[in-house]
Amino acid sequence: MIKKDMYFTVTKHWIIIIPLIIFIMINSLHPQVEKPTVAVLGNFEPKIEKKINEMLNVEKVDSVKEGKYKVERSIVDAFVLIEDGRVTIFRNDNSIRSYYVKPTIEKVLNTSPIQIKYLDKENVKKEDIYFLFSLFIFIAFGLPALLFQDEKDVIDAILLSPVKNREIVLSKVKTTTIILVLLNFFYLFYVGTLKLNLFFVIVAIGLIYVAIGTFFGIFYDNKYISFLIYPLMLFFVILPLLPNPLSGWIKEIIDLCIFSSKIPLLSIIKLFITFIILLLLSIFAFEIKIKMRRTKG
Amino acid sequence: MIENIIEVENLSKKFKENVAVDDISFQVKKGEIFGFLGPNGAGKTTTIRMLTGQLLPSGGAIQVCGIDPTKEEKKLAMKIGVVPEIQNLYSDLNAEQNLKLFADLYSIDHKRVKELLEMFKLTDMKEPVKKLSKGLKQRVLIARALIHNPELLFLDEPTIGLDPNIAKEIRKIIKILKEEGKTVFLTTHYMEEADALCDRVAIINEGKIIALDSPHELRLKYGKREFIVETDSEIKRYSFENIKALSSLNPKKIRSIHSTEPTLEDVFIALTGRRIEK
Repeated sequence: MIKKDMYFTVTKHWIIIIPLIIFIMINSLHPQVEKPTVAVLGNFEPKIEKKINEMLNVEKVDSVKEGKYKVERSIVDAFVLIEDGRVTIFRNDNSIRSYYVKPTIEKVLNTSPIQIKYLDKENVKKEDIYFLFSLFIFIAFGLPALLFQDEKDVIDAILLSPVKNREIVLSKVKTTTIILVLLNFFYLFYVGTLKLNLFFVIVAIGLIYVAIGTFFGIFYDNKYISFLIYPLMLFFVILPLLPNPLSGWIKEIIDLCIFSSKIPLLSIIKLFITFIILLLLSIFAFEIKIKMRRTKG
Repeated sequence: MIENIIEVENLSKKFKENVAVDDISFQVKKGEIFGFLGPNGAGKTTTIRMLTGQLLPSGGAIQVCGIDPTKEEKKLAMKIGVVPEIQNLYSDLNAEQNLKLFADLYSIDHKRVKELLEMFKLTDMKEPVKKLSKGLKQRVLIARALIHNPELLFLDEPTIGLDPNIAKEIRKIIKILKEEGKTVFLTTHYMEEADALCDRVAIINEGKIIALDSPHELRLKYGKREFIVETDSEIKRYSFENIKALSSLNPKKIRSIHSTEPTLEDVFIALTGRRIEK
């Protein structure tokens, strides 16, 4: 079954995948994030200060009030307060560059120069990750519907074969997942941020999109509906219900993955369980659809 | 001992208030061509869909190859092949690709695809199925139904809309399948098709089986057999029962005498009082 779905994806539905690959390549040509500018009150050790200056644009301030004022007015990306050997960072939430201040200082304070160099060269852009999610939503919702639509005329013949009903659904999920994983890999590799933890988290969130896309694909196996109604449903109905990478605990996981190499295993398990529940729901919906077909003709 | 491959008892199907199949019972013997003959809307396709597990009956019991299709339709899948009335192939794929795809669904080696392509003279058909003629598509459908070499084949109106030569070819294929030992369950509303192919025929009208026997026996039972006598002045019909009336004719005036065999069409008219619409 999956062989057939992969064949149709590659020969017929490449039209929705190729433009996305081109889009990825164009998007990844964005300039790298500039060095963040920080206002600093207090003194680092001279050796550390030198390293900090290599990584960040540092300007000294005379008071906490001045530092906070500069952050609030977006004059700097962050304000760093050094008091009794403790470092406190006030981040400007509106600045993407401000994300790099905390990990940079942490790395300079605690780890070797090699890691500092790594961070400096391979800035992860959060917009890139969110952009990837928007691609995922597009494919996760479009592809299963198109694959169900391919089967619309031959579904009777497929149902007469020994292939189990759940395999029909699972093959759409597997095919879409393979495409998402490949795109994820290609994207992260291409933009130069191929981090294992980020890869797994993105795949886990992508799987949830696939399960929801498959669920709707079962009912809307019409290509016109999938192309016209889906985007509307997506933005007004489904998207607010989805794990939104821009907010909540998903945002925290992504932040964690960007700034460290830890694999958030518990979060991945949580996402995976959500996926399994949604997948079972899709299989159940398909079984009901077939049962109704067998009853009503 | 002749084994029944299909056993149907008091089968019925209702769609809301409409009774599509009304309490029918019949058996199909292994190795025979069994015809389901009736006009459009008589309940032929509904019956096939119930026998193949695609539709759940409202009442009655079915056994196909010893399996209940309402409960174990996937188990039945390896034993039956179905050629539907509507040609449901992947229209963008060619014959070979269609067959290979279904061979994969049945976990059958692709060698079988090659065999079937040769058997149905489809080897050179490289264009997508949507570009093939109706007759060629029908051949692909039959080949697809045979991909797993089933013992029982359901054919729903296999020659409908085909030109007479292609229809003849399809009938030839059905006869070959019987020779290979397969059982064929065939629905048709073509009398001559049922007559030429079937070992036994069930005539169905408004969801009910109104007669079931071999075409020959049905003709004997329900058909009117006559002699047609042509004399210099007239053409007269005499029933078999009235054979003595022939002796009153002057032999010198008789130009020709021949007997007429009733057709299944006559049987249908005798049973229902109307013709089968084509």
